[in-house]
This record gives sequence, structure tokens and C-alpha cells, in this order.
Amino acid sequence: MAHYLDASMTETPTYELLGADLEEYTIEMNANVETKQNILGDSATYISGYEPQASVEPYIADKDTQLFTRLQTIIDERQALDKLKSTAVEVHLWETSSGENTFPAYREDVLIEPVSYGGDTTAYQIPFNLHYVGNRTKGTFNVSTKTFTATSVNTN
Amino acid sequence: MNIIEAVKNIVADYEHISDFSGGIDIDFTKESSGNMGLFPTGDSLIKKDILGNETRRHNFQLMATADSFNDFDRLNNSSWLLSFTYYLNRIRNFIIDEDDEKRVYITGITPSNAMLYGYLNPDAQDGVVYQLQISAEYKTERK
Repeated sequence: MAHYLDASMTETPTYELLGADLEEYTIEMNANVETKQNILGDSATYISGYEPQASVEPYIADKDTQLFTRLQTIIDERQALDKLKSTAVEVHLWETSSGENTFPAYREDVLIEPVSYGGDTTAYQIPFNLHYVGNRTKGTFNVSTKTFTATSVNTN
Repeated sequence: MNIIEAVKNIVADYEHISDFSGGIDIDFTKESSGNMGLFPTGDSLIKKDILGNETRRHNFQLMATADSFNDFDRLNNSSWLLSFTYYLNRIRNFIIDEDDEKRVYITGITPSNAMLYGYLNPDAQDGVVYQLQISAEYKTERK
């Protein structure tokens, strides 16, 4: 699976591949689990939703990338709320390609949360978290042109 | 070029390398004063990211033969090794290989244990052997 993050600060997305220097990229589902007991003493468990979150650490800053520009702008301007919104795409590379360099994918709205900035003498680092906040859309992603095409409406 | 050739080139590019006029051999050191031998001792994978980029480490032993008639010679030899160690520590982002698909480069070199290793023969007047252990860390990145 490949993960792309829209790093642009305009209406036109610019997807960048996540993974350089990352030995692991795991999306924690953080399910909302509720357990209720009825008057008969029986228990029922419900999963009412998820609060997915992923950590990108380390992120080695590269001034030639749009993602660095986006992160540094968030830090410089101490941006919050809607200015942290972006989209992330999960590309299913193991599925059959529907066209040249095109694979099934899901796009979802995310919030970018910078955790810290700075680091040691090896490199300038900006580790960040991604909070997946819904509006999940099924589609296809072309890994050469880095464009997402929706094939269905919101699956939420 | 591979990591072994790259480190040999880095050693050969040192400004005072001409003090060892016999040149640098691989896995061999001539038994006379003024020669160097670079001995690769193995490669290992340090880490790999989810894109397949690798950070690797290759270790070497550098053997150098030098005169040792008196303390002046030996101080000169150790001082040479010290400044050579500083030079190796400054190496950063040295390109080993690059094409449209990948880039391989040295991220840093860690020298250690620069010391007198032994004698060319029981009489130290005929020359001595110094050693320096070199650890070169390098990355292979896909573009």
C-alpha cells in the first residue's frame, strides 16, 4: 500500500508520497467500542466508529518539496483549524491495475498536526501526525501523474 | 562505482596522501615504508524504509606503513592520522552512483582506533604499520 498526502496550499492538489526514512507507517484505527449489558445480564458490544490516526516520524525536512513548505508554513504562522485540512490517499498497489500506473485507491480528509520541529545535528526534522476525519471516497490513483479520480460518492 | 571504490577515492583525494607515495592497494599492503592498503571487512543493512530505500554500513581497515626511526617520526605519523581522521569526519553526501531511478551516496564516515598496529619486522627501525578502522554509512534512495 502506498500513502500520498496533498501538500498544496491551493485548490489543486499536489500529492507527495510518504515513506522516505519511515521504517513504519501504521494507521491506528482507534475504534469507539461500547459494551452494554441488558436486564437479562447479556452483554452486547458495539463499534460505533473510528478515529484513525497515523504518525509520520521521522520526517526529514527537504526544502525542495512542497510538503516541507506546507509544514513550515503551519509552524511559522502557527496555523490551526481549517488551515490544517488536507487529503490523504491510500493506494492499493496489490490490486489489479485499471489502467497504466493506475490502481484502486481511497481518499480521505485529514488534519495535519505538527508534533515538533528541530532535531539533532543529523537533520532538521518535523515529525507530524495525520488525523483521518472522514469524507472517505473510493476511486483510482495514477502513481505517475499523482492524480486521484473518484469513482463513487462519500462512503461514510 | 561501489562503496569500496568510493572510499578508496576519498582516501586518495586527501590533501596529504602524497606522504604515502606508494599508493593505495585493496586487500594488500606492500611491506615497505610509505604504502597503504584498504581492507574491506563487510557490509550490513542498518535500516530500510517503507519505500525500499536502504541505509547500509561498510567497514574497512586501513593499514599504512611508515618510518619509525625516532619519536619525531612517530609523532609525525600519529599527527598525520589525526588530521586524516578530521578529514574523513567531514565527508558528507558523497555521490557513489546516480541515474534516473536511484541515487547512492555516503552520508558520513566514522574513523576510529587510529593506532600503531605492529612492526614490519622485529627491528622497528625498518618501519611500522599503523591501522585506522573506517565505517562508511551510505544510502540507496529511489527517485
